[in-house]
Amino acid sequence: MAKHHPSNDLLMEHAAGSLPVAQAACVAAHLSYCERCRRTHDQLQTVGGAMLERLEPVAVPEALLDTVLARLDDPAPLTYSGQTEASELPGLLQRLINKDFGQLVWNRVTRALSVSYLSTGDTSHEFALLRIAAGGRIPEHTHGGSEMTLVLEGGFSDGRDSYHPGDFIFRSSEDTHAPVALDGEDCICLTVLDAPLRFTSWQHRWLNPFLKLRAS
Amino acid sequence: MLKVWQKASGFNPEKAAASTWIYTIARNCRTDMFRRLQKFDTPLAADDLNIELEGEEPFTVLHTRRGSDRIKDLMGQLPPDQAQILAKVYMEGKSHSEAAAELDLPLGTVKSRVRLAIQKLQVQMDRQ
Repeated sequence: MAKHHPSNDLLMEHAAGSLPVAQAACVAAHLSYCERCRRTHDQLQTVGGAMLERLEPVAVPEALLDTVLARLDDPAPLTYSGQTEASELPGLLQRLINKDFGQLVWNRVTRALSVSYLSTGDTSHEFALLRIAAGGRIPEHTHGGSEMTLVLEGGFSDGRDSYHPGDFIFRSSEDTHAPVALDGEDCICLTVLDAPLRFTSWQHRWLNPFLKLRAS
Repeated sequence: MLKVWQKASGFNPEKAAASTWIYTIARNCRTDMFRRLQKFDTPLAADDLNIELEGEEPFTVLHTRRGSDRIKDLMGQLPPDQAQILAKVYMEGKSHSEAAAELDLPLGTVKSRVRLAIQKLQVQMDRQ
């Protein structure tokens, strides 16, 4: 069971449909792991329903009713099933990845860290999978903006706590951290960034000019 | 309205009030339409990001129903400044920071009003 969750503010923005698509996908992927957040999110959607009920009815032309009735026989849109039981990976990520982790294009950043960029259509957020080799460390870094992380496989620790599949972490630009993958298996995380990483240690700072946001 | 008709078979009154269900459909339509207008090319439709409650125990279902009835009753009692922000967030789909900019309020004020409103509505939060 996930121990680290999105804040209530994020859950509300997701319930109200105001998160950018890359962030919404990350929160939705967490919801597919976490029943507690699903329940809170459900209540937050109810708030939307209650607001809808309190709206004053607006008069519409009678012709509109005819138009709508005339279209009732239109073919219904395709539907997807929201959740997949058999696999451990959230269904919506499976749709984006559409293959094995092994078949993805992994770009090596450091010896322990590779990145695979996925496309969500969101041009202001990078949506990527990180693979940290078992026991490997990501050099200490900070962010120009915010970072959402969802652990998918393995786990990592940042000195404060350790994180396992389903755990959701939100970091702002003020946080500096140096995550270390737990021993035993590679750690795979989903990250959503709105600005590139900035390495802070002198050994790695030279990489910074090469770190660009790859949002697509 | 057409979407509501097309999706009607998916409505489960045990899980959610009709108004909530209609709200989520309208919200997803708005999101998709907005993205289409911006020529936003995304493989994800708003429906794909809907993760539903499922396989709940009867007790939880009852609990959820009570929760939603209560939220509706309490909605009318919110002070106008809190109701205004919830309307921005839920009806206009503004983020908290966009709502703050439009109402010319500090982000902290928006967040604390949201928090107060959610407390008053007795939305159950297991944490914080």
